[in-house]
Amino acid sequence: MTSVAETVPGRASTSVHERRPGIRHRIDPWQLLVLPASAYLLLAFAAPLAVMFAESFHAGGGLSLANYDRVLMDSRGLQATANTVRYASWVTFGCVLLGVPTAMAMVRASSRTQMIVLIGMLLPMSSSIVVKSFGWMILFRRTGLINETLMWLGVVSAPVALLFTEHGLIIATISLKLPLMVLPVFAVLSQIPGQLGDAATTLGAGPVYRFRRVTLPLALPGIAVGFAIVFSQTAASYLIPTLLAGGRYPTLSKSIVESYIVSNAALGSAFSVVLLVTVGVVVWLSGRLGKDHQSAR
Amino acid sequence: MLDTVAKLQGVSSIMQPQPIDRAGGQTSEAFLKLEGITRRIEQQTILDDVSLSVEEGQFISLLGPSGCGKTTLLRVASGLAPCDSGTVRLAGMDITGVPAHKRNMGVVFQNYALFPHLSVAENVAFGLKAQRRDRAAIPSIVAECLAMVQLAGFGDRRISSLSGGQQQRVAVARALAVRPKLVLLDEPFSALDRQLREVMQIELRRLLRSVNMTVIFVTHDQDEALVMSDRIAVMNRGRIEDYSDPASIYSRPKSLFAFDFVGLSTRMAARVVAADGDMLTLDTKYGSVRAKGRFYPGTSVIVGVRPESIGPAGDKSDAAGEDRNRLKLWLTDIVFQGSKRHLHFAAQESDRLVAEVNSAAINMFEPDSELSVSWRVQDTLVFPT
Ligand SMILES: Nc1ncnc2c1ncn2[C@@H]1O[C@H](COP(=O)(O)OP(=O)(O)OP(=O)(O)O)[C@@H](O)[C@H]1O
Ligand SMILES: [Mg+2]
Repeated sequence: MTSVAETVPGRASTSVHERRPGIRHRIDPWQLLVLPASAYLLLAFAAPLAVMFAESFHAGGGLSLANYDRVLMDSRGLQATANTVRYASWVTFGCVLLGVPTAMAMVRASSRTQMIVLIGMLLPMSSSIVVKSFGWMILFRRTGLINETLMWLGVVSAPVALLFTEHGLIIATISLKLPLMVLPVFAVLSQIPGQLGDAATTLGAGPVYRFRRVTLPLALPGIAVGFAIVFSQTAASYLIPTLLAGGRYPTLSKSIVESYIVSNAALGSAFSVVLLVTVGVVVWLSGRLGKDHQSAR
Repeated sequence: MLDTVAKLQGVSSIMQPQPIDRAGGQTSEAFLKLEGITRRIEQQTILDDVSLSVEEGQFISLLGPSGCGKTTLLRVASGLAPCDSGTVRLAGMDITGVPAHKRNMGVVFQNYALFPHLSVAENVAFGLKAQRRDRAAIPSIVAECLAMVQLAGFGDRRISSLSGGQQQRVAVARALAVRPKLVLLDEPFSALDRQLREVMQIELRRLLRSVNMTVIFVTHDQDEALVMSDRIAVMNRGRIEDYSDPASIYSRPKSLFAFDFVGLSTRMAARVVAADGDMLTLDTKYGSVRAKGRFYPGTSVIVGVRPESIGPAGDKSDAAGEDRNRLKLWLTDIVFQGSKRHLHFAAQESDRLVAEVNSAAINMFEPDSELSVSWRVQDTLVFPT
């Protein structure tokens, strides 16, 4: 049987998509199309980044690590870093927890329902973050809808603090970032043939086993993408923590702005580098996670 | 337990037929019994009162055109799809309400549905792990199943690195690894080229016979069904039109659809002009023929004859004393078919006139000439229109 599979004529033929010989040594003219964007990125992104990086080692008229000392050793700087990591982690965690089941349900829904849910998620993304944050501020007030409802239901006897708290901030941010998790996971899940689940079922796998051994591993690349986007977007967000957590909740992005406001560009640069590295590490880790499981066996 | 016994005896565990716990006293009931299965999707009747009995160890084919409901019937049998009415009985037990993951049926899907994130061996082991079978025994069962489908040594390969035929065999090994009570195969060869398909057909049948597996095999290829099956169920528009052994399906089909679907054949519109007992005299556009059947005079019918039953009048098969129909037909085309040739004759409207002759005898015929043909009265089939 094996021998037949290998000797059937035309089966082992060369791929149509194979490169023509020698093409790698010449420059494909199409690749020149990337030049304008590269030039733009170099001027508008890489160059300022280099300037910022250099600036961050600038203190007292010479080169020093004093700025990093203030960012990572000073209690307020340290608090900003810790807050940012904790805040972004919780939001990302919440988005995974809510977003993955949502995407799974969407894949099973009719295309009409999918459309409605997608529009429902994308439409609010086109409105201003400020407006949405104010919306949450109104809801979070002591006399806001949430507290009124909780008290009316008898869940709590006195209003709970939501506004200017970390948990309130996390709850609100999850609602704003959730689409960024649902969309990539949905995209990946809709690529998985439905028959894989059926195959697992007929082999004796119940719903939980099926989720753990088939759906989840196949959805991981999508989750990794959502993870990276939500984490970086949350860690870098300035408006939401400013409006919903107030001044007593330092974050890296707020510290950056505050440093520049007092014209301490060197300190602001150091904060920026720390934020960049933090987000970079998480994005890199989530990339590994998605890839590992894709090629895992 | 069977595992341990088999291992102690050094006997291949997969080769042991699954013990059957039949309900007491119901020994006469078929192993798998579908009764009155009906399924509707949005007012459309996909399966219409389908009943089918399969004996243990039998190889059954579901044969029918695309969209006739073959896959849907498999899905209902395996529990992947619900039915609006009807019952599924397996080994004497009503399993209509049993969820699919508790039915222990091996299913090979139309496009294999192998897990792309798992290796070949992990695919085969999937069911064993999902059913929490004895972990220590899994590697040996996997190796055994891969050897059975001639893929020993492929365990570490990725699915995407396999050819279509190899993937198909992994799908079979995965389905058999859990020692299912029943195997359902949904057009497993449709993606393979003809040469490989013919080899796989014979290999698969021998393999499934050797483990005494009860099999339902879906196909829309009549040759495949004729080659592989103990019995064939011909499906059309959500119904089973005929259910019989291949020889009967071929020579004595119960419906015009089954006759037409299984092979290219002669068919002509006719009218019953006389009925003497069960001997009918029929008028066709090419002359009068006789056939056995029970129809009232005046009825419009279709007369069907298999092409190999028809021969040139006066050749050696046209023995004297046999009751034969004879017609003079206009030969238009001679079509090469390998060892055989098909003679096509001028036909009117939706009629079709085909005869099959040995290539050796071909010099006797000239296209665009009149030819007398004959066939036995008993080979003449009559179907209501
Ligand atoms: N989920 C569904 N929703 C609507 N119609 C369906 C659904 N599943 C099947 N059908 C319809 O039921 C009919 C039978 O489908 P089925 O897949 O059983 O055909 P099949 O005999 O397996 O065909 P093929 O040989 O092409 O695989 C088709 O007309 C199909 O359009
Ligand atoms: Mg089908």
